[in-house]
Amino acid sequence: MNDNKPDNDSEELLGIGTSPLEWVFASFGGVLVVAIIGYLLYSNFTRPPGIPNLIVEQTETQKVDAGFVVIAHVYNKGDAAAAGVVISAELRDGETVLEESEATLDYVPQQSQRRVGLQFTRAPAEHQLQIRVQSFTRP
Amino acid sequence: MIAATGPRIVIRSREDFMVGVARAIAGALIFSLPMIMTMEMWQLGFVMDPLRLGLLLLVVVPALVGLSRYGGFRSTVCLRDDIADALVGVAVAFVTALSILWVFGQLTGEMSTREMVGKVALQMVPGSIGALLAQNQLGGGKGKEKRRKSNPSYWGELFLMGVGAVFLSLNIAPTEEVELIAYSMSPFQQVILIVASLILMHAFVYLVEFQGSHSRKPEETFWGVFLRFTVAGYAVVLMVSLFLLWVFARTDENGLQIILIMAVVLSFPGAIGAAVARLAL
Repeated sequence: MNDNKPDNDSEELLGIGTSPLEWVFASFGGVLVVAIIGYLLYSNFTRPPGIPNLIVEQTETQKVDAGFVVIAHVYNKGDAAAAGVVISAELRDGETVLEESEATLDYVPQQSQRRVGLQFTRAPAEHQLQIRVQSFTRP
Repeated sequence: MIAATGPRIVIRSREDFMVGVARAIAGALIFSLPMIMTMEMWQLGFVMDPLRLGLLLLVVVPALVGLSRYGGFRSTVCLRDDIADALVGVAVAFVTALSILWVFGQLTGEMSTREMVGKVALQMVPGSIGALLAQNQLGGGKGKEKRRKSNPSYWGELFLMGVGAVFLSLNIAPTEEVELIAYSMSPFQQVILIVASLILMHAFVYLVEFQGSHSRKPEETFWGVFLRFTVAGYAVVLMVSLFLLWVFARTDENGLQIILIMAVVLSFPGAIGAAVARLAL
């Protein structure tokens, strides 16, 4: 390595040393790298990639101008991300399907949740509402 | 390393260091914003195999140390200082990525730790390279902070080409387009692409007189330089492309032939990145 030659205008200068403050920043960076890699290793071995395990829960219904919106939470309790998750909902009166609604989520990562809005013209509270995960693909 | 003729080592003042950190933040922003603002990159944070993401991060640290050797925060004295610079770059990239992703609403309580860690970790790769490059390329350097002239060895040049290739192909490697382009090209077009990559790589450095362009020494022949730098550099770029395709799981379900064509496709931007790295660093 001969790239440490000082410039002409600083003939006596060999280089710039590392200050204590810089070592503080550097240590923070070092700890980060170790911590993140450690976490990734840990999560890989404690939760090895599996299949998505999706469940959907209705949380609340709100009245809007065009009818009613049901907010549903989609949880992925599995150890793999799901893509293109289709959530379908039916508003029924016994055997008769009154209305259908569908929503698609681009992704639901492992151990995470996402929200969808399902819209109906009739009040869901006055009928039976069924929400389910219809399909997904692997990213 | 320390010569006996009385050269001195100064410790940079707190102000100078903070200015350096500010420049590093600017660099991390300039280089990583296109990737921070891309949906595919957020998704990769949780779609990617955690082991491969960890390996990518692990490989980045020695790459940053090398980058610091050839012109980082300051005229470093020894390897220990380059390691310090590289880790400061990592810290700056982490804080920058975390802040921007949070402001953009991409880190929320509904996400798992795994998803958030993955997102930030992936963005730290371009961010930390940007942080180090900015110091080199944007640094004003008054007086004693003037940046040293880097004069890397042959292996240093190949290394810089590899970093340049990573830089330009990092956000292209995970896209579907690489595979789509690979499927769309005829064998004739594939050969054209390889030849074009080589010609551009050579021309950028030796013919199109950009600032920092190299000229052939009188004792060297055209073919000697072409083989030693451009062809060898292209081989490095191909290896980088294969590594990135593997890291982003683009090689997993494809046959050998299509993987090689994908590597050639990804090496096109990689070759340009490699050539620019030789000019700029």
